[in-house]
Amino acid sequence: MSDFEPIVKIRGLTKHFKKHTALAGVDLDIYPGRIIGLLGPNGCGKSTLIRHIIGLYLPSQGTCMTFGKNAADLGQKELCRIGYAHQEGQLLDWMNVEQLIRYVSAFYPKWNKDLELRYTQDFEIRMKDRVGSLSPGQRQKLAILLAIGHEPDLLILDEPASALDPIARAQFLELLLNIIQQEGKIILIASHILTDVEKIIDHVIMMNGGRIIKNQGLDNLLESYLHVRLTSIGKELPQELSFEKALFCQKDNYQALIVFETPDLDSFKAQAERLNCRVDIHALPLEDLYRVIMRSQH
Amino acid sequence: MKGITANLKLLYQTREMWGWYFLFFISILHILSSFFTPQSRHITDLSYNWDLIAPLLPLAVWGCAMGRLAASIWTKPISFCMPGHIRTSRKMLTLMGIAVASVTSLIMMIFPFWLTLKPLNIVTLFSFYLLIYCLSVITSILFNKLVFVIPYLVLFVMPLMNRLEMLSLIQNILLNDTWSSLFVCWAVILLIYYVVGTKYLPRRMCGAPSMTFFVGSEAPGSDLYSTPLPQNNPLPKRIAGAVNQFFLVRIQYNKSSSIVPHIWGRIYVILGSFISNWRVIFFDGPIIFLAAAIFINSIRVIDLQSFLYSFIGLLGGHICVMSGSDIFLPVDRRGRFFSELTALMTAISIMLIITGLFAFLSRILPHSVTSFINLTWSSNFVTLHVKYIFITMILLPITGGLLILFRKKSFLFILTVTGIAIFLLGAHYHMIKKIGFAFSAFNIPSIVLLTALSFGFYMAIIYYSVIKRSLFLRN
Repeated sequence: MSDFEPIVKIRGLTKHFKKHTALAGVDLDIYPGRIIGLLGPNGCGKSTLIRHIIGLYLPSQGTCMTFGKNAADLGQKELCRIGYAHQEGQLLDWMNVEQLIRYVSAFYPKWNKDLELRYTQDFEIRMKDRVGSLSPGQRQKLAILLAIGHEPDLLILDEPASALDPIARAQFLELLLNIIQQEGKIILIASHILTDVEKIIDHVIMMNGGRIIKNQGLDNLLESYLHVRLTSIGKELPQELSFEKALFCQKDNYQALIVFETPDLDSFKAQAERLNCRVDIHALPLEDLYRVIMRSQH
Repeated sequence: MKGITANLKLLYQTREMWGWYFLFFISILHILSSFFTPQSRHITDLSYNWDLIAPLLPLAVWGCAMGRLAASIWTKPISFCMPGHIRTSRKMLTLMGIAVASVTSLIMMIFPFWLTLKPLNIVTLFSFYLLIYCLSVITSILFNKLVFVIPYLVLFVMPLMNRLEMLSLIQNILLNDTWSSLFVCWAVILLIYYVVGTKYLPRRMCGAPSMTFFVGSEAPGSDLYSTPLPQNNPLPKRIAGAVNQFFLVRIQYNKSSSIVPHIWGRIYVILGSFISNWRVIFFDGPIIFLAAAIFINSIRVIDLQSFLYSFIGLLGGHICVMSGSDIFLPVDRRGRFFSELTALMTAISIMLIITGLFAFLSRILPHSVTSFINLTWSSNFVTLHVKYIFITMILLPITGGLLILFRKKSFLFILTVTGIAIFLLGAHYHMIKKIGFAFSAFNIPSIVLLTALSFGFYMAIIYYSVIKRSLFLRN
């Protein structure tokens, strides 16, 4: 498979759970060398999409190809290239940490022992502790180690940092940045902690109601939305304010906060001048942008 | 370390496996004891014994143990992505099955009496033993949520083994219709082998709670005192509207009484999903109940009445540890105490209704299904005596109390109770008769005293575990 071919290729993917539609006709290509943030509200279909990619769920309609093979039939060769950390961190509780690491590593042709050693030291995971007695944060750290130990080409992390404390989250991000430095790796992170995700991802997939509503590069996405503060000089702002392509507008007598999608800045500035207003333009952080986009969906 | 070695290490790493080994050992003891009793079967006449089928129980226990081991790993999402894991699990299951079936066949071959068996008979026996093992494996995997019943079933089946004349029928088929037996055995074995090697079972089980019997459950709600928010609780969605309405009105917080809502809440949790499911009420339930009644009554259970009532008492104790009513209300410790008490009363009511119906059916069934019995069992129906119901009344609170006490650390409790129960009630048919005789000697004051003690024990346990102890229990 060449570098220009998608590693994950999804076409018309639909998944029904009885009467509930979890995914509705999803089309998606994931190319090598990307760090992708999979974002969306609870129940929007993120985990369902991920489980299709690893072949855990079977599509009701459509296809999902991973490493050029139908995801439902992934074989030993393809599975060796996938690392998956599950959001609930269900592990084999009766083992101690060392036994679990040895058990999982036995199934992979290569296992990075240096990484294991460094990781367990940095994250203070004690090898003799029983997995069942670990705190949720410790379990999550262990699940991440098990997902990255065999140096996968496609690393899928489903809510990887939700139970980690701020220091562990910073260490975790550093670890991901190290992995990213290796060429051709893909990291797919489903997360709600957008301030962290924003630091490492270069591509965003936003989902809502089982559909993909945004699928573009992070920089591109951030550039296409602008946050504008309009401050009236002297007199009050008119009761009715209407701007083309405005997604969100909040105003009081003298000030208005507006978010635009792909704005025509020149015409906006001209309009502001007519209203005798000062204009301050900022880029939106991903978290605020996410909120605006999700609100505009309703 | 290779995958298969890693999987074989699991055989001693998990505490649950030691529980299964214990059950396996007990079931072998049972077989040996039945071989060496003075009243042992007529071993010189092949048509009237079932010695070749005797290892059925240990094989089934072994199969369940291996099936549960595989299932407990498949429920973890991490295992789904481990390359070759499914095949390795199948290899391990096959290896264990062949090993135990071979050893059992060899034992049967070296028994002096069985020297007369033809080599082909040994092949048939091996195939049959492997089939029993495979069926147990697949059953214990498929019925993940009912795994807690398995040790009780083993306990229940033990004394019945001496009474099931169908076993000699199976033995005769194995020895006389060798080729057709071989064909059926291997067809089913290969089908199971194929299914276990596909992704179907891991996919079905992935993320499901791993139900265990010997080391406490990981099922949501198994931590009784966790308080999930109502909107996250799936129960109201599963229960029909009218039933929901009936209960929810009564569960609503009421200033004048802080106890009544908990009582209704507990009944709702235990009975709600059952009584709102019309199919269960009118179809599944009656069929299962009738089948059980016919089965129990057609095995000359007259000597086993005390055992039957004990069995119901032990099983009924599990109702006491079903999820609490506190899922709908902010609950204080006092409310929880009454909720636990309600659970016991509900469990007793349910079990009394069931045993009462069994007793009633045992009176009317002989007149209506005699022809059916003649086709299957050679014995006659017997009438169950309701007077023995006090055994259930005494045992149920004790079992429920112990299960609450060892909710998360049930290992020692289960081993002890299962061991005692098997030795006293299951291992030896004649022991049961003696215990039955002892029970029949009880008079009313002693029954009242024992029942009061049993209830007192339960209340002391719930007082300790709800009022005095930390409500969050870690596994």
